[in-house]
Amino acid sequence: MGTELILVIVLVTLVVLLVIEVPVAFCLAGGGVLGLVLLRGTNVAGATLASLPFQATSSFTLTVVPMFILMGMFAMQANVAEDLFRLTNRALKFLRGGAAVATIVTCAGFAAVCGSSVATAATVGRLTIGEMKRYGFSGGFAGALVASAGTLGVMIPPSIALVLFGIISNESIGALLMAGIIPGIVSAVIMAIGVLVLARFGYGYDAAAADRAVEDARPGAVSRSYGGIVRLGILFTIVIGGIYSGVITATEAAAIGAMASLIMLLISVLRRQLAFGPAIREALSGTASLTSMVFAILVGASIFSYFLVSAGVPGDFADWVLGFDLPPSLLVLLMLASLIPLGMILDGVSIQLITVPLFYPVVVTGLGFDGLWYAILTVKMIELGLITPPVGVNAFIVSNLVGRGGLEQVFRSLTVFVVIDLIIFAVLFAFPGIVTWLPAQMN
Amino acid sequence: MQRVIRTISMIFAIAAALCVVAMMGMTVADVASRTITGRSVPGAQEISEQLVVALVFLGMAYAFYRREHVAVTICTLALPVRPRAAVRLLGRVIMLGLVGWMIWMTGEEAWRSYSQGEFRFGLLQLPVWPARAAIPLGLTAFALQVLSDMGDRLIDLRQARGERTAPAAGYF
Repeated sequence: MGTELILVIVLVTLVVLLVIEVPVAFCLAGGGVLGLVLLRGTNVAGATLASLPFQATSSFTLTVVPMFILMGMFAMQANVAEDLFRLTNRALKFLRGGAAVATIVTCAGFAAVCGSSVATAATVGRLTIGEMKRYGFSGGFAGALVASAGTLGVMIPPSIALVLFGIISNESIGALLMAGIIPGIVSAVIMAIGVLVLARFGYGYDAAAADRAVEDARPGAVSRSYGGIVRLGILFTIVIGGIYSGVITATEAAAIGAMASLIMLLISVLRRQLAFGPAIREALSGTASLTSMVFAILVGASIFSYFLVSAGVPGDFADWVLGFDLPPSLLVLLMLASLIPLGMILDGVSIQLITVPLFYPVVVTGLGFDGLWYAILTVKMIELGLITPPVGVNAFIVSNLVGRGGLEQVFRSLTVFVVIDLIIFAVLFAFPGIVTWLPAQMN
Repeated sequence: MQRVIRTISMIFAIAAALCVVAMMGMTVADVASRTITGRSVPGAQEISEQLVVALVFLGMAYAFYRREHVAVTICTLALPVRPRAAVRLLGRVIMLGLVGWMIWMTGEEAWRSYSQGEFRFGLLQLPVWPARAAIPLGLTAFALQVLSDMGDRLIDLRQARGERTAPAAGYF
């Protein structure tokens, strides 16, 4: 059987398995195994199944993923975002749409201790959507803003997405995490400007209701605790300061960050702000099952990739792409654009694991672009998938917080945030220095 | 029966959670020891490497129970209740076939590792078989959890019942 025919059979199988709701990890493994059976026979396929699950997971570098997930879980339990929102919301009260800007700042702050956008959107949404509605924003707009700003979770370090990119491409994980900081801040600033402009034009915003809410707010009644902000600052300093200074590796920084957030959780328990049992149980069991899920996809994808490499697909793909007589920037843009339709079906982990082994050699080795820049743009594209239908995980998460008919309203309001995200993408694409400057300063 | 399977998944999940805690503790101890005494904790990295393997496979069944494994649902959710249950059952049967083959192959590999006394090269000469054995064990618990779920889907099919909880759509 010819390689092309085998490839077609494998891709069709992959799609069929996806369609009948087989978990993505097993779709990839199944497709890869079938391809290996057809290409090399049952023995090679069996030997691959025997050795790859161990080979793919037995690596010290991988420990950074559960550590970052654990840190985020502890941070979620310890309510670190609450004080940040209260403080910024109060400070920005004079501004039309200040509550929305405070939400963006809170998302960025929480993103600095949590590597997942879904967790960021869920945590910050619980705090801010009700408050934004009180300050004149429509439920749909408030939800859409949180869904969109929640994506900062995968841009601002710690970021599971950037760590995975490093694992697949062999780019330095420390440098990748550093590369996310300025793009994350730039994204937050552009988003805040966009929201203020929209509020000025009354989009999703009722200025009269906002004025009434400001008058009703009694400054004497609010608490003045800044413990959460201090805790956020400590965690960010440990992780990012540690990596930036070169004193510890990303893996070590993640473990120390997780330990520090555990201590913070214990302090909350001692102050009777939290019950120990449920908090620790939820954080640990959540970390175990999420890590297992992410790495199951990694195992599936490595079986699939092994088939692709055996069939010589990456080389053929690179030759095919480089054979087009198009400007290099346009080629990169087209490859990145192809992630949008993938994002409509697949989740971010799978998209990265499938496309990075194919695209990275073309973009970085073949066309000579910067690997960090390409990583950030890939993550930005995956973020778009998080807020666009039909999958749009973040939109689903916040829609429960918005109330009845939430999903439809959120998706409708998200249109404008997709436009804002495309503007951010264009800025990052046009000015690679935003991405590459900070990692270049590292020790 | 379903309760027994759930208990197995949970016990494995607790073991996986302990792997996470151990990994965290060892890495922090390693950094602390390096800072204070200038020397690393012997074998900390090698042990963590083996713990990741155990963590991934031991947590797999519980992740399936929690509907954490990402799957594409737009197509199945568009179907009426009975065909949806039937399609899901078909998907799970195929998955079980694949997982069964994986259990067999990784089980043989774990046995080979144990009987040949395979070890991870490093300061501690750490045996590899416990991590290798965690793979077929975890996958077996996962297969049982899938079987338990298939029982529920069969009831869906028979009683035209719609499933309430959908699998996760992503984590990023």
